[in-house]
Amino acid sequence: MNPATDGNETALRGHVPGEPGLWVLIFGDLLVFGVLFVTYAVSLVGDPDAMGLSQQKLSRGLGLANTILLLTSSWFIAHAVNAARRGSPRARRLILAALALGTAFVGVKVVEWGGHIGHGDTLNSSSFFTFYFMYTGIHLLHVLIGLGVLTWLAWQCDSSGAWTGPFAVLEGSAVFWHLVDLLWVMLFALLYLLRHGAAV
Amino acid sequence: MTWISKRLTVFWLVLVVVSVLSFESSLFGSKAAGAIVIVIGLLKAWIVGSEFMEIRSAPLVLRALFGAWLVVLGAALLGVFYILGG
Repeated sequence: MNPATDGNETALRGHVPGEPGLWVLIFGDLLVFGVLFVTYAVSLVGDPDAMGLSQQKLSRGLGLANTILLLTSSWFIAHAVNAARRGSPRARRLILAALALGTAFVGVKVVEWGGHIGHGDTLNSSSFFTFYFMYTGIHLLHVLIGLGVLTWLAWQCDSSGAWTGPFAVLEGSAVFWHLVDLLWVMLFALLYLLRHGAAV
Repeated sequence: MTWISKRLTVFWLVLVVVSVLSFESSLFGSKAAGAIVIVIGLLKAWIVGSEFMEIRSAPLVLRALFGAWLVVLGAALLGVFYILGG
């Protein structure tokens, strides 16, 4: 067992989760999304009335549902990492639960996109919807990659359900899945909740 | 349930409760509401990063980079909103 990962606080101190090289990708992604978030904010304050009008068409309820799905999925994969560190056979069940919730996120997103496209709001119909489809589309790509990784992780467990692969692979995959969650939390705040001016 | 497991659950609960409570925050349409939405979003991102991604116990360089990302993004978003947006 990885000596740095026996599940207690002191043992984890100074530990880099996953492969160190993965963090280059993580911070690169954070940087790119940071620029995307600020670009969107500039457009939002530049034309608050038109942006606000389109923004009102979003279902904040579906956005909230997807937030809770991804937060809970994150909780499950964090527990899968802890289960693997303890050598527990619960690892696979926890990975599969995270996978199921992530799949539900995609389902909600498909319903949401379908609704907007059905009402004529597409990638080219307004500035706001260009941002909306581009940003949630790039994010959805991350979700789909994450779901592929989670599926592969579940395969790596033995017949009892215990994790058998390298810890760094599981930790790194979990870090990526949490990144997907982190980015969605910001997208939910900016696209669904943030208003500029009096437009409601 | 281990101590780490309880901690994860507490932070998950905080994230869910804050998400539900912030749901209506945008309806005020005021300047303050904008700042609240931005700051709450960043706080949630911080919790996901430090607790779930375990940046909290990672080496200083990761903690510093993540902290810098949150601070710079927060300053940029609030700056755009209040200085550029008038």
